[in-house]
Amino acid sequence: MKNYIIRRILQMIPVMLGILLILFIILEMAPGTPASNMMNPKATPEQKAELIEKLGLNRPWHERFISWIGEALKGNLGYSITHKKPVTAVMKDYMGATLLLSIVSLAISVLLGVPIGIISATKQYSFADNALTVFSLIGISIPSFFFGLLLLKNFAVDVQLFPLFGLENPLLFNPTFWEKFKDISWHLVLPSIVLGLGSTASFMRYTRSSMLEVIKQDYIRTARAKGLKEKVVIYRHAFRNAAIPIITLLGFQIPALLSGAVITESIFGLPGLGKITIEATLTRNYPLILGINAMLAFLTLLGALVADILYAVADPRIRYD
Amino acid sequence: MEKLLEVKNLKTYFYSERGVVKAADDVSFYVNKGETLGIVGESGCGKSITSMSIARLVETPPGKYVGGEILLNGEDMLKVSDERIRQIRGNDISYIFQEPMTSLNPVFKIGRQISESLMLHRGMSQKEAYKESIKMLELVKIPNPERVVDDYPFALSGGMRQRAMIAMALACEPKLLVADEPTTALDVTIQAQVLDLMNELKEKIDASIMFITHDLGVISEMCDRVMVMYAGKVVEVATTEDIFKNPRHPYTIGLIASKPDMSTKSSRLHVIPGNVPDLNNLPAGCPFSTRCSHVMDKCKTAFPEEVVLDGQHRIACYLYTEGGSKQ
Amino acid sequence: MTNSSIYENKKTGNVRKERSYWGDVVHRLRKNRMAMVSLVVLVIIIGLCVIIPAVSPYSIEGTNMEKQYRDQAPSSTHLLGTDKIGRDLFTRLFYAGRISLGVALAVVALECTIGIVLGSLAGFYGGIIDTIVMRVADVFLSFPFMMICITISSVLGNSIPTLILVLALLSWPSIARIVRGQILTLREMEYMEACEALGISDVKRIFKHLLPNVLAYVIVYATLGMASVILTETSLSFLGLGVSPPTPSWGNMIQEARDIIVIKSKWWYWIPPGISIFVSVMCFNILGDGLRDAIDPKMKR
Repeated sequence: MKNYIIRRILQMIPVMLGILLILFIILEMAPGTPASNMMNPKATPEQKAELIEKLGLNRPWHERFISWIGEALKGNLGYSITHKKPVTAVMKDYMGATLLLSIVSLAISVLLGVPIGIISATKQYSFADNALTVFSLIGISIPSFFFGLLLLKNFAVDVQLFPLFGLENPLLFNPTFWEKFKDISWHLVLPSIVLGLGSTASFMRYTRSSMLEVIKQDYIRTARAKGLKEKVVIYRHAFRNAAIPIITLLGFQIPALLSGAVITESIFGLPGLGKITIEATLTRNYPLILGINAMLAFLTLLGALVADILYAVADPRIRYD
Repeated sequence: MEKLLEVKNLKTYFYSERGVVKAADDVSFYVNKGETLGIVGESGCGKSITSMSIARLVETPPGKYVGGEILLNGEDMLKVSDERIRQIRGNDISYIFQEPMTSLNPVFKIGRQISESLMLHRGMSQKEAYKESIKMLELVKIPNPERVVDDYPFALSGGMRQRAMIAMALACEPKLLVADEPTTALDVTIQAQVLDLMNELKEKIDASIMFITHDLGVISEMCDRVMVMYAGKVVEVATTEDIFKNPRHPYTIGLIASKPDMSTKSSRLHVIPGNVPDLNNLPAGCPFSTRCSHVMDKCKTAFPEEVVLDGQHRIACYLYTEGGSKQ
Repeated sequence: MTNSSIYENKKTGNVRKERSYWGDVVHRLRKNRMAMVSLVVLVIIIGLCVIIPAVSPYSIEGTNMEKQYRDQAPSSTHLLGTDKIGRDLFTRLFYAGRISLGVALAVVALECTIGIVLGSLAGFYGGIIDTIVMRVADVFLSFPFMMICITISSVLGNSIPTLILVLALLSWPSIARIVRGQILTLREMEYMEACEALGISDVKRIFKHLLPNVLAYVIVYATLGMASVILTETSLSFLGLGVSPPTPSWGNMIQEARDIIVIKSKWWYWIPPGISIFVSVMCFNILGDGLRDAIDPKMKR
C-alpha cells in the first residue's frame, strides 16, 4: 500500500511538469512581450529595461521556466501587478469561494447521486427507475449557464427568494458568525444547485450502471443463497463492489467541477477563481494566469491521487499488487 | 425411506419480449434423506433453474414460479414468507455454484464470508464465528486455515476457492446441499479431490445432495439416483445403476452413448444429431422429437404421460406408453 | 440420418436467422424508440439549420437601426422578434445552430482522428510508444479544462478555427484510451495471432483487422462527444471566449440574458437558443446511449 502511494506520487511529477511546460509555451506565444503587458505604457525606455532586467525577462524562456518552478517550490508564484500583491495572495483571496462552491456541490452530488443510482438499479425498469433515468438525462444535457439563468429568473428575479448576485450581503453590518454563515449559505443555494446538477446526474448514471453490472455477478447469488437480507445483499455485498468504479468517477469529477465553477461563478457573480481568471485574461496578467492554472492542475492531480488511494482501499486486488 | 425434499409439478417460467421460456416445466422429483440425486442434461435444459427454484433463488422478474410445490420436510418453499425462506437458505438448504472464481465476493476476506452465515443462522458472535470459520476451513482440508481465513478470494487457487465455498455452504450443517456443477471449472485431479471431500463431508453431517452436472462420469461416482432433463422437462428418472445398464429414453441412450468408453476402442464418439432447441421456440409435443431417431407422429402433438417401469424407473416417452413399440 | 435431421431442424425454424454484425446493431437500435425519436429530432434540427438561414428574407449580420425594427417582440413578420440592433432572431437562431453544430462536428472529427491514431499506436506497439502516448494523455486529461480554454482563447484570440483546434487537442485522450483498451483486448484474441502467423504486415493489421472492431466504440463515443462539445462550445461562447459576435452561436446569443430586463421579460432573446442547446445535447446523449446498448447488448441485459 505504501509503495503503491509512493509510486503514484512519483508518477504525478512528470505529468505536473508536462502541464506546466505546455502552459508556459502557450503563454510564450502570447502577442507582445510579457513586460509590455504589465507596465505603465508611459514608462521611459530606461524604466522598461530596468523592469525587464528585474523580472529576468531577457533570459531565454527555458531558463525562466526552470526558475519559475524553483520559486514555485518555495511557495512563490510571482507577482500580480494589477493587484499589487503576490500571485499567491491574490489566489488566497479568491480561492475560498471556488473551493466552497465545488466542495458543497460535490457533496450534494455524491450524497444524492449515489443512493438514487442504487435505488434506480435495484428497481430496474420500474416507474421510479424510468423517471430517475429521464431526470439524469436532463441533468447531463442541460447547459449549466442556461439552467442557472432559468433559476435566476424564477427564484431571484420573478420571485425574489434568493439573492441575485455575490457571495455575501454587503449591507450586513458587523455580522456574527452565525449571521454570516446563514448569509453565505443563502447565497450558495442556487449556485450549488446549478453546479451540482450535472455531477449528481453523472453519479446517478454511473452508480446505476455499475450496480446493474454487479447485481448480475455470481457472488450476489451466493450472498442471497446464504439467506442474507436483501438490504445486506445490496448495500453491503453489491455496493462495496460497485463503489470501485464510482471512485474513479470521483477523480474525474474534480476537474469537471472546477471547470463548471468558472461558469457558475460568472452567472452568479461570485468572487472566485473563475472570475479573476477571466479578468486576468483581459488584463493579460500572465503570472496570475499561470499561477491559477498551475494550482488547479495540481488540485486535479491531487484529486486523482486521492481517488486512486481510495480505489486501492476499496479493492483488495490492487492493494496487494 | 424418508423423503427430505419433494418437488411436485414445478413450473418456473421466464417472461421476456421474445416470449415465454419454460425453463422448468412440470418437473417432479424427490430426494430422500441422506441420498444424492444427480440431475443431468445439456446446458440450457433447465437443471440449474430447477435447482435454484428449490430455495426460491430465481430472480423474479423476469422469472416466475407459475405452479407446483416444493416441499422440504412438508413445508412448501413456494408458499413460505420471504422472512422464512431466508431462514432456510444457507441453514437448511445450501448451495455450491459452478464458478469458484466468481462465486466468492472479491472484496471480502474468506473468513468474513463464512462467518456471515454462522452469525446469521447460528447467532454466533463475530469472534466465535471467526474461530468456527477456521475450523470449517480445516474441515475442508485447506492448508494453513489460520492464514487463509484472512485472505481475499483472489489469493486462492480455483480448487482452494471451491473448498472455501464448500466450507461456507456446510458451515450451518444444512439438510440439503445443492451443488450446481461444482467441479466443472476445475482441473481433473482437483475435481476428484473435491468430489471425495464432498462425499466425506456428506456422511459427516448426514446431508442430502442434489448434484447438477452434465458429466456422466461424475454422476456414476457420486449419485444414488439420476434424473435426466431435456428442454425443461424430466424425461427419465432411475437409480444410477439402472440408468447406465438400462437407459430407456432415446435421449438418455444418446447421452450415455456419447460418453467416451475406455473399454471399447471405437474411433468415433456417438453424437446426438442437432442442437438443444431454442427454448423460446419449442416444438409442440415432446421437445426431443426434432432430434429423436424414433420419432412418431404423436410425439409432435403432445408431451407423453410418464410411465413407471420396474417399480421406480420413470420415463416420459411414447415408446413405453400403451401402443408404443417397446411397451 | 444425421444430415436429414439437421436439415429438418433448420426447416422448423429452430435455428436463429443469422444477421451480419452491423445488421444486428441497426436492428436493435431501431427497436429503441427513444433513440429513434432522438435521431428524427436531430435530423429535423440539422435540416432547419441548413434551410432556414438560406431561405430567410433577413440577413444574418445586417443591422437595422430604425426604431420600428429594433428590439421587437415576436410577431408574424419576426417569429422570434428582433434584437437591439434590428436583426431577425429567428434567422439568427438557426444560423447559430449551423455554427454550434458545425463546430461540434469538426471538433469530434478532429479529436477522433487524433485519438484513433495515437490510441492505435499505443495499443498496437506497446512498450515505450505506449508509455509516452499515455503519459501525454494523462497530462492533457489533468488540465483544468475550462481555465485552459479561457487562457488559450485569450492568448491566441478566439477565432473559430482556433476554438476547434483547442477543443480537439484537449479532448483526444479519452478516445485514445478507449481505442488503446479495445486494441489491447483484441490483440489477445486468436485471430490476431493467426494474422501474425500468416505474416500480414503491421499497418495492414491495424487498418484491416483491428479498426473495424474498434469502430463501433468510436461511433458511440463520437455521438456522446457531440453532446459534450456542444455544451463546452456554448459555455465558452456564453462567457465571451468561444465564438465571438457578430457571428452567432447558441452560446453567445444567451449572453443577452445578462441584462436584467431581458431575463425578466424578454424570453425570446435567450430561451430559444437555450432550448435548442438542451434538445440537441439530450438527443445526442440518448442516441449515444442507444447506440451503446445496440452495440453491446450485454450492457442492457
